[in-house]
Amino acid sequence: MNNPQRLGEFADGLGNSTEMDDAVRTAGVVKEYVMGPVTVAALAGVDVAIGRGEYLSIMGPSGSGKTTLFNMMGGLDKPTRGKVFVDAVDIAELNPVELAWLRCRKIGYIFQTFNLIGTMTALENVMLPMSFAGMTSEEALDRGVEILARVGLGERCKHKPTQLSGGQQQRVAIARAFANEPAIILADEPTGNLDLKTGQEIISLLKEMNRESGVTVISATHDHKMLDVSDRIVWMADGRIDHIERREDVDIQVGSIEQ
Amino acid sequence: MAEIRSTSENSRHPAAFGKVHAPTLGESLRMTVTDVRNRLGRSVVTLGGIVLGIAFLMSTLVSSDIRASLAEVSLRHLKVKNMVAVVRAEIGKLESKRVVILVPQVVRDELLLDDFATELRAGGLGEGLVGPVPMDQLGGQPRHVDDASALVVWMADPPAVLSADWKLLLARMRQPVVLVYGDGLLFDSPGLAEVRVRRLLPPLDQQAAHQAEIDARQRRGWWLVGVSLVVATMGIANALLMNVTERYREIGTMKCLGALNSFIMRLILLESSFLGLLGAILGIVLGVLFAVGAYSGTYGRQVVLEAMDGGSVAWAAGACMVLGWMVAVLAAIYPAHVAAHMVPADALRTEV
Repeated sequence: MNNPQRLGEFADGLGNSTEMDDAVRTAGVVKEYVMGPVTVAALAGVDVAIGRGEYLSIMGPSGSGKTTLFNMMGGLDKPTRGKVFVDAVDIAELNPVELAWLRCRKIGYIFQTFNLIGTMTALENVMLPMSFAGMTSEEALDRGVEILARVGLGERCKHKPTQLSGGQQQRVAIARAFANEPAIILADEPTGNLDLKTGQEIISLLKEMNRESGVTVISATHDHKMLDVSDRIVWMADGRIDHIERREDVDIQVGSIEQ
Repeated sequence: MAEIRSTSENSRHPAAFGKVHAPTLGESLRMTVTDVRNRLGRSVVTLGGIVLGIAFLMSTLVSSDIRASLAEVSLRHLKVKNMVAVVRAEIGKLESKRVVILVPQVVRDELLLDDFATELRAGGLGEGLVGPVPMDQLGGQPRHVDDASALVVWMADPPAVLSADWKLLLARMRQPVVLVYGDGLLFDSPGLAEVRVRRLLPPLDQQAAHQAEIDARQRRGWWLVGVSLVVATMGIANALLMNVTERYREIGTMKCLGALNSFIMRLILLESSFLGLLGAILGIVLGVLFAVGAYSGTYGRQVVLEAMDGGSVAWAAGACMVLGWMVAVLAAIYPAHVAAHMVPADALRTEV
């Protein structure tokens, strides 16, 4: 967590990297919704850069714009103004095919509602992005089984999502997100639908995989359990960045409930 | 702000972007079939909408067809009754009489002639009915008409002038009565005074009136066909629209996994084609069964099955198939396009 080597990369006070080896960078991103005569700004200008291998959490109350920022960073939505760079590439410049490639190979997504395809088994869900990446079904099968085992679902390959608990479904989603060895993982409230214990397991799993493979993890979340594993935390308020904290600056005291 | 420079060996310039593999047509088809099978519950509902719509349409088409045939049959029976009555009026009791039917090379109204002949035989004439005899054969062997009580001339336009052959023919008859089918009457020529000539069928305007009534009934039938067409189209369109919009979330997810817009469109169009065709086939069968069943109640299955014309049923089936398929595909295209081109954030926001 406290990695002195990586600290050196963060040149400015906010901890933003000035190296152009950023995983994701936003520049003046604005998102406005026009509701009749009123224009609502969900994002009112956000500049942030996320380094490779970093575990970043975006936090803030509802309506602060964290999900909107998250959507912008992941190419899930388009900003009204401003630019988003993924690996130094302005994603607004990409045509639909290139964007699809980006989502297929570079980014893995994890959602609060899991978003697994209900008519496919866990294994088939994990194999789906691999088929888009052009893997043969044998390769995909092997890797799928391997990665499901890695997330702890070795025996559940043939189960359908309805036969899995919330935590297990999220594990499948994580396996799916890692299927094509992405450079960036985007997690939108990954523990939102999970109980305390399961949520903690999921967070630990994500952190493990972040450490193992050096994947950049960006998470939009309410969950304070996420604070402990994050390298930096971006606090949002009213569509802007309120402040950015580094993990070592955060004072965390963990209590427990006496059983 | 530091300048943007291109990075190391792993260049992320768009030119270095690889290809996203889109599954082949065969793979897509297999995915579609598996998907429909897995979503059987939902698919059945969609299919139900298509089947019922097409069944309704098909049954009105077949009903219209059956009705037309039955009307023709009943009209024919009416004519035959009338004709036999005329024969009886002219020659009295049919038993042990002899009647000859003459036909030209091209016989008109064959069905009517057959029914007429059958009815005459059954009515007491039995073996006394000779013919139909082709006119040209008669020249050589006119003995057919020996002892004949009546001569039925089955021509629409009999000759205005009697030729020598005719005179010869008529001379051999016992009590020559000529019954003419059609409106032209044999022109009475001298030497034919003792020949009675009568028309077999009621006058043309009476026939026309009857036909007009049948036509009117048919037109009312077509109105129902029109209504069923609209209902079928709307039912199918609705079913497919629902089918696609229910999957917006799934589509959004697939886009996040790297699915190309074209792949998504293809998947949806394949599925809607599949459902449209399958629904049409089932609907056609159901529609035919229903129409036959409905009319069999009144007229009996045998009559109805005879009345049905294989050709027009096949035509109606073909039309329903094309309609079912086309409406399904067209109804799916618009929401499919919307879904494929949505930003994933919006698609995923959809509440199912």
